[in-house]
Amino acid sequence: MPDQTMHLSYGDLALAGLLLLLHAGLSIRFQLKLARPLLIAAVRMVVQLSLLAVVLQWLFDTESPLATALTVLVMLGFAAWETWRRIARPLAGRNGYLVPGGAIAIAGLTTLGYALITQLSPKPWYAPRYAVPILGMILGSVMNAVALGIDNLTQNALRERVNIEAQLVLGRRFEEAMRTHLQRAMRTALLPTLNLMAATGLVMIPGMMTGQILTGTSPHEAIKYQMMIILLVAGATALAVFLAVMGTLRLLTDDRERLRLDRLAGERK
Amino acid sequence: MPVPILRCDQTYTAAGGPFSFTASPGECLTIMGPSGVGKSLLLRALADLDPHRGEVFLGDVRQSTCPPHDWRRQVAYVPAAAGWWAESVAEHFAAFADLTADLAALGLPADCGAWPVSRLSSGERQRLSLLRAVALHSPVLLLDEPTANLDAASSLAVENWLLARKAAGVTLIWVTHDPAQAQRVADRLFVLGHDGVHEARDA
Repeated sequence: MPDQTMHLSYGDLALAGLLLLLHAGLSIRFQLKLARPLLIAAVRMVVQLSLLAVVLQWLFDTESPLATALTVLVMLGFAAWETWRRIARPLAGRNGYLVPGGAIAIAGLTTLGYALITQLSPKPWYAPRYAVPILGMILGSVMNAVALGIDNLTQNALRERVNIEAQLVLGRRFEEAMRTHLQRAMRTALLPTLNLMAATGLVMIPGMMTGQILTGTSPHEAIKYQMMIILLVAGATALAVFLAVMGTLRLLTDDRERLRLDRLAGERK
Repeated sequence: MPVPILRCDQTYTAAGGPFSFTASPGECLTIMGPSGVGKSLLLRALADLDPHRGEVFLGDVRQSTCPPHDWRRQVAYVPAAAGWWAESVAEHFAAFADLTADLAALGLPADCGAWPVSRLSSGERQRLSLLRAVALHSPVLLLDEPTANLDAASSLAVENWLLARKAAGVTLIWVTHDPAQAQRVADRLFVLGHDGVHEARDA
């Protein structure tokens, strides 16, 4: 098979960045104050991904189970922290990280392990070339959804406190009083995943398969991989949201079925 | 079925304590005291809505071992500003159609069940939230300023309607800021301080 792969030079990358420079010019001309943040974000992206390239290359070359496990742990830790940061009123104290972090770790690792053992089965099964990029794709979506779900639940509980307690004082169970809020939180969290699946292939072509096609893979193969990734990511996201929102709901009450808003952290400064 | 005695034993809320008192069936206790002294917090503790120390008994049932939703059905708390979680008035009641006599006694139109909650005035909200709790037929009612949003005539109507429950054996714990109202409805008058409840001499 002839090599159809296009090799990118750094000059090509710089050319791709020209559009942002063009926008920066417009931003300065119309005083939009976007030139600096956009350029800083672009530079950050380049630095972060360049470092990632070095780390990934090293990981793939060494194929050490210990290094892979450490990488996975660091990724999960960052995911928990980043999720916590995006929630306006998280649970106070350690639970603020542990609930989303635990949900993300359980859902992410279960999905990753399942994919590695059944669909992909690389040798060895922990081969970082498979485990690390797939976990990264899973975490990107899961973090976002878990943050949306917990944020929606805690904000609604705070805003609807009087209406929730009005049901409790009439002898309704906490679960009943929170049902619509639970449904709303779960739906809000999964909406981006639902929309993504509905729009994929019609108006949007996912980045992963685009990259594969550009490097010479046939559309059939690339799309099969893309479908697998979307299904795995959606499954992991749904599972993580379920665990995180249920866990948060459980901690919003106690054994006396009270609404325990005192367990939420205060407003962020 | 006899209505059991409500006994509050050495209860502490976030505002203070210890609060200890008993209320017999068919008795009305009024609780007065300056704003911020913790009258609502005491009622919330009696309904087990906030963590608190001490024990509350209803007959020989202990609050701490009674399933919370059963307890709140027996010791029904009516907050000063009630919440609404559905669109129409009737959706907040188990059997709205059975309540026509009570609606008339409270000066509410019989067809208000179909009204959207957003249309209710604050006085209508207050009376409907009282009716919502009374419809549970609880042996004890915890009333947090039940006539705060009402004019004088409606207040009297609500007082008489609540006193009819009392005559039927219901225990009323009634928080009010109005001394005249307390004189009208109370069997026993209490003043709440941060250090406890003190029974006033005259009732």
